[in-house]
Amino acid sequence: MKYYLPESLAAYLQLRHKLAGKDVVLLAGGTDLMPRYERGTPLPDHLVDLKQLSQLSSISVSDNHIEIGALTSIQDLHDHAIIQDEFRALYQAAHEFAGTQIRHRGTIGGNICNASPAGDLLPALYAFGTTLEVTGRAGSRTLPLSDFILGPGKTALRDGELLTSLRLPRDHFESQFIKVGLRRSMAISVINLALVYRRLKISFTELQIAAGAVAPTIVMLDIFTKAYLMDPARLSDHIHLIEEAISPIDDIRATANYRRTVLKNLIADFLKNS
Amino acid sequence: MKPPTHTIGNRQNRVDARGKTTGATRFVTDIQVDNMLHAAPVYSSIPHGLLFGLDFTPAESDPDFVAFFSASDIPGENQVGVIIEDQPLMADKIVRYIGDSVGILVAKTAESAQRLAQLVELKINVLDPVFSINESRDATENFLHETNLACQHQVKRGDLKTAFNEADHIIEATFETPFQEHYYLEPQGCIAQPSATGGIYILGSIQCPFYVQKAVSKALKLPFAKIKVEQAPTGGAFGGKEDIPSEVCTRAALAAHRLNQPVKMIYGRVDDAQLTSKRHPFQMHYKVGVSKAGKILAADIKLEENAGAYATLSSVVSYRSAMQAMGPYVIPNISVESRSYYTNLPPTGAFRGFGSPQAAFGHERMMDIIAAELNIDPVELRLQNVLKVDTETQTGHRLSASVGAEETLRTAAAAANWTAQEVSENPRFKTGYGVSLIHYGNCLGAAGWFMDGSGAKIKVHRDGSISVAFGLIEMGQGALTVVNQMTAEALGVDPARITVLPTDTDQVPDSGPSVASRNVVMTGNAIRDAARQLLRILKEAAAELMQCDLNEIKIENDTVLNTRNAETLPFEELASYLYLSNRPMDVLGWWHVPELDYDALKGIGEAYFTYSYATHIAKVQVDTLTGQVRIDKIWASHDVGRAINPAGLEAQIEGGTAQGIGWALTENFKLELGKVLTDNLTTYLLPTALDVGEIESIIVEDPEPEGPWGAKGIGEPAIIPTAAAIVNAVSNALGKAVNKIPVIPEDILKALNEKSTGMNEDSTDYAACLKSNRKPGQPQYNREKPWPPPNDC
Repeated sequence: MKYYLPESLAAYLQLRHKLAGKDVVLLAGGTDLMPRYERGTPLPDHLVDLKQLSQLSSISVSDNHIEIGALTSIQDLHDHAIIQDEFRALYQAAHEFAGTQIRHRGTIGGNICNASPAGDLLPALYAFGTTLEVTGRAGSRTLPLSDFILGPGKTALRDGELLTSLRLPRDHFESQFIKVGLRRSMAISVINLALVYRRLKISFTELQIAAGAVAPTIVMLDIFTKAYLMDPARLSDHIHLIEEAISPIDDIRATANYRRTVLKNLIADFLKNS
Repeated sequence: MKPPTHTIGNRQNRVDARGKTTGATRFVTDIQVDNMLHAAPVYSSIPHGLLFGLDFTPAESDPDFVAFFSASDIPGENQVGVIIEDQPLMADKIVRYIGDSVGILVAKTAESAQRLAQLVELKINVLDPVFSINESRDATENFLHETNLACQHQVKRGDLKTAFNEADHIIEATFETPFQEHYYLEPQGCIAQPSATGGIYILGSIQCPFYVQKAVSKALKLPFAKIKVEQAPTGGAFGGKEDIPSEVCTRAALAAHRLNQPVKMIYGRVDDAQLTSKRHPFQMHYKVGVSKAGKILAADIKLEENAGAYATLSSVVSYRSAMQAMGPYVIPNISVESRSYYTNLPPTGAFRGFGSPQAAFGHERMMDIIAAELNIDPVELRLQNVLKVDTETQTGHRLSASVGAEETLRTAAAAANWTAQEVSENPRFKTGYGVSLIHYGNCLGAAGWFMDGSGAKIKVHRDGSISVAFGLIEMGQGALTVVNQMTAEALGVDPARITVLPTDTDQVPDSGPSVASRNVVMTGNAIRDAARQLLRILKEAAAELMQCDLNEIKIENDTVLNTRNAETLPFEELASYLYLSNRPMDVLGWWHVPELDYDALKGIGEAYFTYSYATHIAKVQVDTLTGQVRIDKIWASHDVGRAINPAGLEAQIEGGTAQGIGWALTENFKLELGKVLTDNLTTYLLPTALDVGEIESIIVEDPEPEGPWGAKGIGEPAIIPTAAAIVNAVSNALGKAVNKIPVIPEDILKALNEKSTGMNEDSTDYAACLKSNRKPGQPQYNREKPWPPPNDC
């Protein structure tokens, strides 16, 4: 395995050009990669360490957007005042994310590119309508997060490209992140979900729900939320729409059936009681 | 500042805290030796088969390859079974589990050793494996060993038939408990090196250095005198380093001996999970006869254990679970049969409690089921039957002193405000309280009496410093600190004078294993014996020096005092005079457990010389949306005879309780066809600080006359009652019997949804319902009024 440490985005793009078509893996925080290699996954031919690309680890705020560098650590995300005030579910997800060491090393870009069905930041990012900026030798392109993640571990990143930043609209929604793990911290999610909404008195006027660990990628429960917003009194009649939108599996942590039941329970409880 | 007169009972900082906190402590993995080679185990990936060949040529061509050793390289006996001789050091004919070692690969680096070990080809004719207790018990051929029954113990006392006839209620239930992984933070490891005596010197992460010495001697055909085993600082053990290091160290020793070069072997985490022993899964059937008033009259108990591929310490687990099967209650008529069965799974063996947490789950769930049946408060039912001074245990052992069972129950119930239990205000959560009471036989008991003696050696140096060597070990439990305290107390000197040495087989005679919560009792008494002898020498010298009578000398407050004229002498001067007057400077103290009157055939008599007692009360919240159980608080009351170091004692209680919480709730050990699936910290979930909740330790001191300063053991009692207390609490919250652990969210949700039927198909109180004429389908408890449960049967 060859190891590279590009010092700028330009140097990175240059390097990737040289390595075009080769077996390349990018190293950001390493919190997923290192355990994987420790467990015997074969090393790639080329490992590109991104830690010198410090220009990608800042958060900038404009009137309408917040822009988060892909190499921003989970901890920096967690500590940012605007995230805490306006993107509560994202802050909560960062707060419940793994443990202290991992929050300091792990990056938001890494969590996205790892494309785990259970990635804890993803439901909130989906529900807030995040778009991504991806940079390649030909320049940058933007695409919605939901178009970027294609399946478990699979993204729309093309050879030589790099996820450089995320953009979230400052829509001043209320929001809530809910995680169910098999213990209260340091646990991979059995279910995670983000609810992003606006309310008039007690009724919801706008609602987005994104659910994780219930399908190969995060699922937006749009059909359910639409039906619910039209006729909130008949919540129990709409609940089956949640089940129809997801395709959970049995794994070492829980059964598909448990995931279905708990997701329905949590959403119904939230809509009835919050 | 004058040192305190007494150190016993003081809250003492751990003597090893600084090194372990700063990282200065060197564990075996940190230690490098010149010319050191590295080894990795080569093992079967088939759960059962006939081994007909080993081919290491694919590894041999690698430049880092040094050697491969297998059974045929063993000069002595290929046998490492600790009690029953059923386990080859390296399998040569049959492999019996995934992880069964067939050889050891030595290379220049640890990474190469790991890599090359994978290349060794095992030629195996696959045999049908057996994984469950039921399959193993019912098998009529293809036994794992001569038979599938690894060992058994029983208790037969009184007249069961008459007692059941006289009982107003006969209640039956079946319980199940799972594997548990020790998950010591430091995996197995050692360095073996050729020594100057022509033998072997082993430094390792070890719980029982004398076991290792014996195992190496047997395999290498070397005299014990040429084998020195030293314990390196050990990062946790919990029983997992009782017998396993005998395998690990002996294999490394074989390589070091053959190559005449130091060899280090450290298990990776995944190998450690697959190769090493676990807690025995139990299935248990209880049938108990009680009077209307709640007096237990008879119990017929069957315990069955999954022993895995080799017996290891199953015999001790089976013995202990049989002796304690019905708990700390008066029960005149009893039959207990405890049997361990071989299966093609990793061997199960020593684990904190040795079958006690399993038996406690059985008897304490049973007590709650009886209480519900009779509509008696569970604490009340326990108080009615609890052991006291001058009563007899289930084995007929008449107790003469130090029976704090009742006090632990009363103090825990008072602290938890048992009679005024809180109820969750949020309808999403159901609150439940559960109680559990246990006893634990200290030390090795009648079955292990022949090896239940231990030593300590105290040496006074000419500068007045003192060193202590002891035959048991520190594995995180705080032994070094209490050994220091007890030595200071026994000699009347400042603890700061005293250095406690790492344990090594050359220092002290074979003191048996560091297990069975025996360290304080054994080492404390050995220290007292040594101190008695040493004080005589010191006082003789002092009397000579101070020109008075020996009886007039007192050593206290770190000073030598002539009580006739109040003249004092610094301890240093006495130490120096000891040297100058050519007196012996060190003595060996020894203590063994008093002889026990016990009939092994019937399982009647003094099973252990004394017992520790404990009550845990758990308060839990069950989340009705997710099925998750949250521990609010556990009140843990322990009769320890006497607290030597209350700070360390509380830490023991908290650690044991946390491990019990893990076993009951989060540590869902999973296997698939003999392969461990939960082989790392991502999938095997130890409870975190958030999961453990609050623990309130309550220390009850009912002194044991034979214990040092009255002390009894605490290491294992700390974990034993926890799981039963939690599951009793969950059962009360649900209004439904849960008789199996781990309690996982899926099962709770299922139980909540089955509520309308009132019966949990997984639980076996169906049988109890039938026997006690309760109509199936009727809930055992009233959900509206979970406490106290109404008698609706």
